[in-house]
Amino acid sequence: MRAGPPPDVPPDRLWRSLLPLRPEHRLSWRFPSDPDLPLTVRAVPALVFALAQDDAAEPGIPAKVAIARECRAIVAATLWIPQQGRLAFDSAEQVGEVYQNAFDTLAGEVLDGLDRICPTFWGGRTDVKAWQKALLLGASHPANGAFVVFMAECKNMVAGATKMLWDERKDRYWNLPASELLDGHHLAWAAAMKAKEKSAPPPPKPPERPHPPQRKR
Amino acid sequence: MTTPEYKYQEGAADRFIKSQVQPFKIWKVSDFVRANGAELVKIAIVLPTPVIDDDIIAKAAGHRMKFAKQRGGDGWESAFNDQRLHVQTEAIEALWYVCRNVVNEGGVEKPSNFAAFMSPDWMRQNLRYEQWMALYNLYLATCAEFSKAPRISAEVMAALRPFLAENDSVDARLSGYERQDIVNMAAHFAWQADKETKACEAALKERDDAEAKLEDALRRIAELEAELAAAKPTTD
Repeated sequence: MRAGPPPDVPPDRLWRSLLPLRPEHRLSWRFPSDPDLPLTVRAVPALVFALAQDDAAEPGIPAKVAIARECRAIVAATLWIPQQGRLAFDSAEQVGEVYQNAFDTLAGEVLDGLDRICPTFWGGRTDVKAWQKALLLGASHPANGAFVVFMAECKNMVAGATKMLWDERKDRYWNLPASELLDGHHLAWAAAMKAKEKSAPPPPKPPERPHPPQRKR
Repeated sequence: MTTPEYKYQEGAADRFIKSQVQPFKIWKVSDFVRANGAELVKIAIVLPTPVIDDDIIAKAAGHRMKFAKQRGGDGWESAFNDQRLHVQTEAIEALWYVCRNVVNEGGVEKPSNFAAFMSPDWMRQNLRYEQWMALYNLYLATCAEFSKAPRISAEVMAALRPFLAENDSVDARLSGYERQDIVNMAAHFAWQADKETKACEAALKERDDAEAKLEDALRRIAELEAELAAAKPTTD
């Protein structure tokens, strides 16, 4: 099933939640050996999901093993310790040392968390249309007007053949190279541009010319 | 200038992994004999970590391919998909790892570090299909007890246990996949039934509470009416 936007988050908050460089979602699961250490799941670029799938799918390996490996790679790449500013696990192999009963709970929470903060175009995991609809609502919300304007300013004017064009510079807003941008950033940006277009005032009408005085016959 | 030596710092994940206790369960068995001829009375089933589980599956898939090509020749694909072969390879590899001897340490029974049987090949040569299936049932029952996915209550597990543990069920000659599907299905339905029962119990309790409140109110009305009748001035 494709994951849509979380139903319990209002659209304006949902749109804002995608704006940080790496959005995080706090988990209720904690290491039983360190119960005071909060854990979060951190959004990652789609490339991480793609590489996890590629590494897992070695030739000749049964499908269920490949899926389990992919799941472990995703947990290793996204589970984050905010207090220490580092990933919780060193590698997917280390995640594999967690017994299945604990891993089921952990992986369930991590994947649910990712569905909330990390929409992605990769692998059909996300219901993109539903996200676009919710994000457009969020970007159009008056509370987010200032952020939309900041985004809309990150453009360059380029001379086209017949007219001037706008070159969108997402990398300037987030100060990240394009390869590091999240799919959530792209979605939020597209929603903001659409909201800006909608809210822009209509182009001014040309001034009406006064009627020429009628000649008296 | 010398490069500082890299020192691995132990993290929260390391502490968690070290603190884990390997899930296990001890079962009484009959009709099993060790390689040295001694009778096996108890067996400990331990659950492997996912990495070991994957290794077992991948190793078994390799064996399965080898056997299928030996037996099937050109038509090896149908032999590869044969459920019986699946049991002979994957299940036996897994069973060899999970079946452990039981040791008694200070009055507490624990699984030992030694496998209960000599090798997967020894198991293939010396155990009957029924015995494999009995062990496989115990393994599935242990998995079901420690699985978090469908939360199984003690009562539900007690209801499932005869199906899983009794040797009668091996007569059905089910393959490993079918057996696992049945266990998953049974666990799911049992879990659903448990949930519905709890909901019914809650609804009944709510009804009883409401009835008790109603009775109280009626009794109070009757008392008030009696008081009113007593307080009413007589017309005589």
